[in-house]
Amino acid sequence: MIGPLEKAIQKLDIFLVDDQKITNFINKKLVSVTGIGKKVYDFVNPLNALKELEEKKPQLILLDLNMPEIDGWEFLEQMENYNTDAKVIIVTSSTSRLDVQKAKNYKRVIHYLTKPLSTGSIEELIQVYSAK
Amino acid sequence: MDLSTAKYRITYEAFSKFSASISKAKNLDQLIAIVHKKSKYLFDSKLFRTIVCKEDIVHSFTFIPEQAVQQEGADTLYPYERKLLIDRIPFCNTLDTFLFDEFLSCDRVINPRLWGWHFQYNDLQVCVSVLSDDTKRFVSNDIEILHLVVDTVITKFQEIQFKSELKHKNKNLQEALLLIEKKNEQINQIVDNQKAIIEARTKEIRGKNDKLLEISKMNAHNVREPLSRILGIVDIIDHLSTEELHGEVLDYLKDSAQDLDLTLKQIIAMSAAEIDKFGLE
Repeated sequence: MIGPLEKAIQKLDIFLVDDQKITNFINKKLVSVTGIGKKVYDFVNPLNALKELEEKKPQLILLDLNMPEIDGWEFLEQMENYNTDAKVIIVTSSTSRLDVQKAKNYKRVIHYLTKPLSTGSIEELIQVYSAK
Repeated sequence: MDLSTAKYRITYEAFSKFSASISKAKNLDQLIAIVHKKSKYLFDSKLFRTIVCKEDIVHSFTFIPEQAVQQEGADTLYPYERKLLIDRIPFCNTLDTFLFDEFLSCDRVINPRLWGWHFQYNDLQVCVSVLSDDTKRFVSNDIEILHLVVDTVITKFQEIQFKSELKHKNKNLQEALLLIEKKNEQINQIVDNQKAIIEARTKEIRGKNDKLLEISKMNAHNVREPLSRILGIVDIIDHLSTEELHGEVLDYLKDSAQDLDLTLKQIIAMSAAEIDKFGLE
């Protein structure tokens, strides 16, 4: 199942931004088993991810919303200060419709996924990314 | 023109003046004053009395040249007037005993004769009596003009009474209106108070609802967060090496399960606290 998909898509440099180390671990594992990642960086502190944006030039960011230092929304605002084409997929445990609605205000945000991610949701996000 | 025609003319001229004055009277006192002043031009008498009875209320008016006396109450009636009220038969009698000591001395009355009539005007009973003597002689020719006088005076009397009743009723009505207005004001005040209370309560309830909604939203998120970690680990478990599984992943799983337990405990405690705070059953 993974094989044909792997061939069809380009491999991506990906940022995983989540204050929970385990979430980054799980997502990294999923990216690794689905083989969509070229280089995968994980950040527990979103400020560090911002700092690395211009150097690492990720194409895709999986972004959590609820984080202590700056939350996902603030992260999206601050991204505008950097030279980056990165697309963002929000990955959150919030199922609030308000958050889904709010996410539509950001052009960069191409999808909204509810935790936990699975191999299925990774396939879904690749399809969405390819369609953009 | 013979003498009697001339007398009639003079009398009717006097009556027309009398009647014009009467029509100008604004109250009972004025009416009595006019009758006292002008009736002597219409007929002669030593004393002239009118009783007006309406239901149980009795007014008596006594006119002598010096003054007019107004009295009230059934005890002011003379026996002949009580009789008149019952039998309603006019009379003209000589007086065996003099009745009117309270108004004039009997020495000044020579050969007194007492005349009496009963009249009915709607719900009014009227007794008119005239004391005549040799110095002030009332004769049967005067009866006609006396009746005219009584008619005019009683009509005016009724008008004045009616006006005063109307005024009284108007006053009562005005008072009732004022009372209603005041009550309305009180009712409006109560309604306003109720509105304010309802508004405050609604606001309070809305606040509680918002708070509960917020709690439920927060709970959903807080519970889902560690749960999603557990589910995530379960999902990738097939892709993990034994070392990974027994190393950090198992610790993550334990930590996440403990976080979930802690969150649930917090939620239960918070809900209980909110329920206590809002006094919900």
